[in-house]
Amino acid sequence: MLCQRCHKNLATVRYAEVVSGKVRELPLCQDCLVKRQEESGAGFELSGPVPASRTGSPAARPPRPRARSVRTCPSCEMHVGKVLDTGRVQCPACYEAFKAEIEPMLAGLHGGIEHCGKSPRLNDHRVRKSAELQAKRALLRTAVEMEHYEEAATLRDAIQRLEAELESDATLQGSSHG
Amino acid sequence: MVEAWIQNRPPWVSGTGQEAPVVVWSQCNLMRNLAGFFFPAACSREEIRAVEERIVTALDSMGTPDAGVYFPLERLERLDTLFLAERRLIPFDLAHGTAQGGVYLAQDLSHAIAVNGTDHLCLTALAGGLELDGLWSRLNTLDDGLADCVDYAFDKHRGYLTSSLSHVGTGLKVSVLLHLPGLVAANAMTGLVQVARQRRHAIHGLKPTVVQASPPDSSSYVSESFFSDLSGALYGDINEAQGDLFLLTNLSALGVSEEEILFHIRHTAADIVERERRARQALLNKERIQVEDRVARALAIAGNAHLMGFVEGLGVLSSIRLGFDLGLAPGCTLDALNELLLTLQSAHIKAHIGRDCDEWTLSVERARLFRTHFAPAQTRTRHRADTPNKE
Repeated sequence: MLCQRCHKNLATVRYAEVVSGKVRELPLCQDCLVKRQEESGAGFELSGPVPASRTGSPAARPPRPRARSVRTCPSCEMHVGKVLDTGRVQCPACYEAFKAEIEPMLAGLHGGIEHCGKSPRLNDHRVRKSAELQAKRALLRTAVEMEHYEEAATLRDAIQRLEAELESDATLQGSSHG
Repeated sequence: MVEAWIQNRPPWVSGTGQEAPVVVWSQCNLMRNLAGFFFPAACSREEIRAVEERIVTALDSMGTPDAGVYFPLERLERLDTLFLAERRLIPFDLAHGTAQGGVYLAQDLSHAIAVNGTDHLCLTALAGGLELDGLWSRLNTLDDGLADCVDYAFDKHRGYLTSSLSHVGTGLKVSVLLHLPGLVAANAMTGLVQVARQRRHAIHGLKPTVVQASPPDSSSYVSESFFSDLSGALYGDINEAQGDLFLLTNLSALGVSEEEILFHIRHTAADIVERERRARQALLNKERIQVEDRVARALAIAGNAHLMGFVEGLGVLSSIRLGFDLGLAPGCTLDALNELLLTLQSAHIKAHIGRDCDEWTLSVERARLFRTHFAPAQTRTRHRADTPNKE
């Protein structure tokens, strides 16, 4: 269920308040709960930078479209309004059918909208290794920023190993074609 | 089934993982769906059956990894499913809903695959302490094996497509259960939650769920457990947390790799553990008598009470766990504390006594479990002898 205050994030807590002697429960996201409670977290911070997504930041996310259309998914016939209210879809085709509505929601929920992780059935070893190399390089930057030097050294070794493997694969491929 | 499962202690109970006792356990969940089907909520009964058949066939062709067995939910009793949910092997909705799913359980119950819950597949593994890489490696291997046998719903831009927009991408949800009495005493939790949020992590108080329900098809039942769904919607606000237990989870699953998710959760958890240790030491230096009193009172209640409510049990365990870490609870083991944290839940108590029971009996039996571990030596033998025979 979506947060009933910002209608942007998923509700993760139920906030109960007493209004005119009646208890009212509001599903809220953590941000809105904090705003609601007007509590301050000053003087408390964890070491290291805020992890940034490689594919966009929430600050840069486009605003959620306000006007609601009456479109439905051509595959499962789910109504777009239900997607906006629940943060859920009914079939893989919903992601394409409601792309315009879903993208801003994904940016808000995750901080990024482009997949960076593993892929199924990636039988091409070179593609798999390249993806792994890319992920490790991003992680190395974060590890250095966070001053986890031991982990950074391990990552650097792994990156060098992957680079060497990719190079030798390319040489082998070149000689087999030649 | 529960009679057989209860003999099988989950590996995390031994308390040997990194950063124990502050980190109780770590869990990884991986959500996957099959291509060519609606997600389970929109599937017809025939489609659900077809999905189930494909997954069971895939597991068979993989040689039933870890000597596991597939159980359709319709063949399990309600106590069986609640028991599995208390062990976090199946999500809340699968245990309480009318889902037509099933669960594949590894022989040692160290991991499971929930079938046709909110997604077609939810791969789950737990380990004691902060042990994320090992968990991910196990799930990744299982996932690769399945991907060789079935086609996943995957998009190169959005990654693994899931029914919830909050899991799409890697489909990976990582959770770490933390025991933080020091930071609670220092009133530091609200600030910590906000900072974790900035790092795209969530911290929720682990709120006990007390369900009293009368399903139309059977008699009423009582359930007092740590249930939760995968989106964290049933976790409480940090001010509602019982037993000083908090769950750290990742909020981002898209735009970051699995390795990055694990890296950030691991370092945030380690940071929190460090702060908790400092808070505990500060508490001990500043209020030693009060801390010793809290631990001694909890040990006295645990060793002598004849009625123990669920929430009271959590509070008592929290104080003893704090005492154990500070060297104030001699003779106490982390193994016993972890076991009680698991077995004070209602389905485990019912499985232990071998029958369904009401709230009153749950309290009596819970107190008996505590006395078995914490009663003074001369009376402990008697309490063990008092344990009722299974009917």
